[in-house]
Amino acid sequence: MTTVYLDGIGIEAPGLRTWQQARLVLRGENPFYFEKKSHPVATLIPENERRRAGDTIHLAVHVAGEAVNNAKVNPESLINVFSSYRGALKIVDHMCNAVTLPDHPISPTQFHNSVYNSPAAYWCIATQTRGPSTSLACAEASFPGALLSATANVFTHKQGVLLVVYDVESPKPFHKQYAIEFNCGIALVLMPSQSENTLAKLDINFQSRKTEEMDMALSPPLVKLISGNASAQPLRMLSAVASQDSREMFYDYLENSVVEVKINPCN
Amino acid sequence: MGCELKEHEQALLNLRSGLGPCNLDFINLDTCVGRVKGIEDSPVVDRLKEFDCRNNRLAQLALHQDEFEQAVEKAKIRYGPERIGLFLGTSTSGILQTEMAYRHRDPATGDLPKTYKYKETQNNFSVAAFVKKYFKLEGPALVVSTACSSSAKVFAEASRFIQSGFCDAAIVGGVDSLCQTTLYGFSSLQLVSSKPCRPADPDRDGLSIGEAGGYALLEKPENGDFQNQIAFLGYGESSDAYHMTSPQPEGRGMAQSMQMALECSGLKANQISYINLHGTATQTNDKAEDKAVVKIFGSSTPCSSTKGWTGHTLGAAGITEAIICAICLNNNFIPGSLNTRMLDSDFCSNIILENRTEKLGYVLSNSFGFGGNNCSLIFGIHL
Repeated sequence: MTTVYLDGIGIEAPGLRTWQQARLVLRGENPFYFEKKSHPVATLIPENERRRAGDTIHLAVHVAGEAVNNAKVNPESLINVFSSYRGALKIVDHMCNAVTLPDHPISPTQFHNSVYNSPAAYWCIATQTRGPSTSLACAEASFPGALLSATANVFTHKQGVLLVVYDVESPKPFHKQYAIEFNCGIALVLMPSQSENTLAKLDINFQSRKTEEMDMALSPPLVKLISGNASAQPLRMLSAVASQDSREMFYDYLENSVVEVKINPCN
Repeated sequence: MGCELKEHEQALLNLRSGLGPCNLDFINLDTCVGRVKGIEDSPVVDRLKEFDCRNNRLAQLALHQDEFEQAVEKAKIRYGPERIGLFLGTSTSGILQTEMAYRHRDPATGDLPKTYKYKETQNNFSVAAFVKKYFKLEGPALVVSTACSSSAKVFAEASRFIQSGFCDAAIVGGVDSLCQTTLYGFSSLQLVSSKPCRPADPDRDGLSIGEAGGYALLEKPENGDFQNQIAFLGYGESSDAYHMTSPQPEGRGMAQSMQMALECSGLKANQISYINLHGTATQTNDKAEDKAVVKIFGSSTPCSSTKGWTGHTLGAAGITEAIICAICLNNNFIPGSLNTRMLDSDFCSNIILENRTEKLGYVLSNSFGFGGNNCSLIFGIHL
């Protein structure tokens, strides 16, 4: 078991537009309406770069900004861990289309935005964050995998971590296989010690066994949201944080393994 | 350059470059590439055939070398398959498969062919999923995808997972393979040379792109007798926070990454006897890296880029150059800067042009990626 402290949350998903609003929905105090429109503009990004940035970049940077604000921390002091199931599939679509055409007209901007770490890089440029920054892939387990990595960073470096998961709607050619129908980005600020801003204490562990039960005390529309986008997975954990419930849950991580999360709300 | 450590060692010692004119049937570009021979004839094992693509073929070809498979099987017995982590770097995974699928879309609907497997080939986790299944591993697994620093950063990631108790040993590595989007993409940025790349040369005019796959098994020193084995001693990671494609011109982030690696290893700058540079042979990278090296090490530490042998293997550059550092340590050998005819007169670091033999203590390897993502690693011989 390794302990980290959750100090800030940022969220953008259909019907969940900020943590403040999502918190009340997850507590069951407000109803949940699935509103597909969730295309935030990351105003933190300088105007020149903002125009060039694609949907994954805007989404990830937007939620990261909210989490850091809520945690009242300086982003420069945080290590970045960004993670996504699909990355920028729309750019893949454009580029793979371009290479079928005569003279293969790939746009240089699209090419550099196609690198998997571009959302993290835009975040670093926007906030002048010069510390370590990692971009991870772990398919459907992109959240539990990144949570382990973030925890290992907090434990090893005794520093705060900005964990961001994001996935966007798939472009048309991918609709038949593994379609994602809506955007979702969630950011968490995880700290090595408790502060007055701490929302919950999280004990995290890797276990090599099968999940036994799914603990979904959530409304069916929220369950649908969580199962429709790998980056909505933190909502399971965040529902306990919102309700200030002490809970233990298991995230499926690859075959025959789970990431165990014990949540103890602090405020 | 070939397969196995031995062939790489011979190529380095005999100044035999792995670069040659681009003769891939899916690329029409006047450039040189580092192409791995035999990928086309080496499909992945039948039980994992849904993973078959150029990148996973290369992943499999690499793990067949130097008795790596046997080493992993021994580690599985020793630690248990659930206690071995797997951390691999790639930048573009099996995107070539998607490029090919786009040529065969349904003309009416635009749908991709039914035979195309997104998750098993193009998805960035595919290579780790493949290797994990190949070895039947059950520990934590992740892909790091930070462009050209990817497979250097896996060493840092693995080190943290071991330190945090999430695993006891780790396989690290990287695989990246030639594809259209990468070659035409770098070409659209005017970063590809038509000749074999010439790091640190005043006339350097860009990259030669290569493909590579490689692995290392990391174990804790207290878990065995590792005398005279290669020791991984420290890592540094930083961000430029400057630009997507250009490094910060003074090498600020690069210097920070090297400084952090020194601090992590507990070594002083003057204990490093060789630096394997990122040295891509673009104007901006080599210039900024020269400044960063001088800032941390001064002008006497021997350094060189080995991209003249391998080309820039992108997401596999970190592991490729870590392995080259291991070859240097084992042979007390410093590679020169292959293809470089003379040094840029603005440069102040001690860039070595000719191969030389020299007793090595500790070596440092740099890998820097798009978006200003920097990583430096330090290796030595375990006493």
